[in-house]
Amino acid sequence: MTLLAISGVARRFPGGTTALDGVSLAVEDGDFVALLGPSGCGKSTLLRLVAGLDSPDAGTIAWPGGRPGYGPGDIGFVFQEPTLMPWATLFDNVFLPLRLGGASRTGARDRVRAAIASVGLEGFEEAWPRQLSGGMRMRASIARALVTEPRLLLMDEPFAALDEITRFRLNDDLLSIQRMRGCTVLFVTHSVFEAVYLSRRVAVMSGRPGRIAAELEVALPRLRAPAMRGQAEFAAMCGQVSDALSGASA
Amino acid sequence: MRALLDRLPPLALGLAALAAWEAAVRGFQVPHYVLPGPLLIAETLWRDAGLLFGSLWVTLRITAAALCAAAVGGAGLALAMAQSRGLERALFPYAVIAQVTPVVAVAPLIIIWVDNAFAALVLCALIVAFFPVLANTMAGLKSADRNLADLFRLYDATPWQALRFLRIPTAMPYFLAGLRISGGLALVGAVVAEFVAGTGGAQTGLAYRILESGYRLQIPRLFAALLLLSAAGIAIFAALNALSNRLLRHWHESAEGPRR
Repeated sequence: MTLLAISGVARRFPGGTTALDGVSLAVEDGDFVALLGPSGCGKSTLLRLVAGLDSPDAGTIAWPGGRPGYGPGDIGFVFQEPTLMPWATLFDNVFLPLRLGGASRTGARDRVRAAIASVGLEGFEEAWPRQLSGGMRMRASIARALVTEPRLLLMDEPFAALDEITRFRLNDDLLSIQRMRGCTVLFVTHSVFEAVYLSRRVAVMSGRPGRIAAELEVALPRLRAPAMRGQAEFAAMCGQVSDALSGASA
Repeated sequence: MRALLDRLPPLALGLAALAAWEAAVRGFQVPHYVLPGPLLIAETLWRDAGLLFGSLWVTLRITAAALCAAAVGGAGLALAMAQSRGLERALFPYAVIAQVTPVVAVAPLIIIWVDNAFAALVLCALIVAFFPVLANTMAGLKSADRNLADLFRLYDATPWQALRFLRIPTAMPYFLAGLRISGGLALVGAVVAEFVAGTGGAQTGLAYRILESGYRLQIPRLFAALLLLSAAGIAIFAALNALSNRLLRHWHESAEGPRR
């Protein structure tokens, strides 16, 4: 079933920059799609349009199956920066989406604790953001996006600022979270390896104006494991995606 | 031990300066109505304690009232302006005018217009102390992180929720920085107003004591009053600093708090 159908979407900014032009992409329910492209190709703009934070100048963004109980909380958003409120504890940061939806602190306690546990941060509920490491802050940010149990998780280069060791661990954790929750993920990245390791489908974007240059199925077993990073099939897939990327920017 | 060592140099310098002052006054036989020595000032402070501390209390009450009014009024007005661009455009120029008009120039008018002497002095001090809180809080309310603001929109936050959970917490450090500036200014405003009011004011604050001592050539008492005034300024600053550190200790870089 198609969850999200983007067709012919264009976005121009005042001043004449065309960020996106004629972008079409279908995202299946439960899929993991990576949006791969160089900086400034409009990946983030596309994500903001899908989230409803911005409106397209042309084209449509449709939800064929309907956004069930359309409303806040059906979409979770993870930014490149952890974007936590520094004045609030980890618990209160993760509680925020539910609080904005009108939930009481006691009523939401179990859900908040479960979301915190699902990213492996149990025991840090009362910690302040500045006491946490970069990786832990990003985990907290993911917990906040998960707390409403969204159908669709939008991630805008969430691990780009982390060191490689932390990034690898968070990649695996994200995959197991997605398997457990069954949510759909649209993941923006500029790393070929990350795109191939995480997703089932890679949409390669070209810049100025941003458009989708190629779509590739990732021909790897659905269950990913760290050992795959060294295998020939993985390397071949990365090569294929890299070729598509250089073809797009040529 | 470490803290003691850190404080040693300024303490030693201060004591040396006081000793040199005392020695110079005695050595050159400077008359005490020109420049009294520190010992005489301390003695005067002790002898006139009842009078001077009574006056300090008067000045402190004016300062505290003006500072509270500046905090509540400045923050309140900033919040009101944050709700509406039109209101901001209409009001802000007048706040600037009130700020740039020298209080010495308007104080006589205020003292004539306002019957209650205490209220008149508080109003003068308020005019001086008001602006930093207003301007800083306004800047803070506009400084919310863009991504966080997007997140609030994503979850359909009401304007009230965005104000309460995002914009007010963001503005807190700005507000507190403004308050620290206003604390010193409130004292300056109170002193200036007392100077202008002179004997016209029914109450006798420290500034009035300074004027009076000057007229009577009681220079040691003038210095003692000055000393109390400085001490009061330092105490106000330290208290507001402590308040700021306490409120921001968990999260803001300006406060000393737990670190990794």
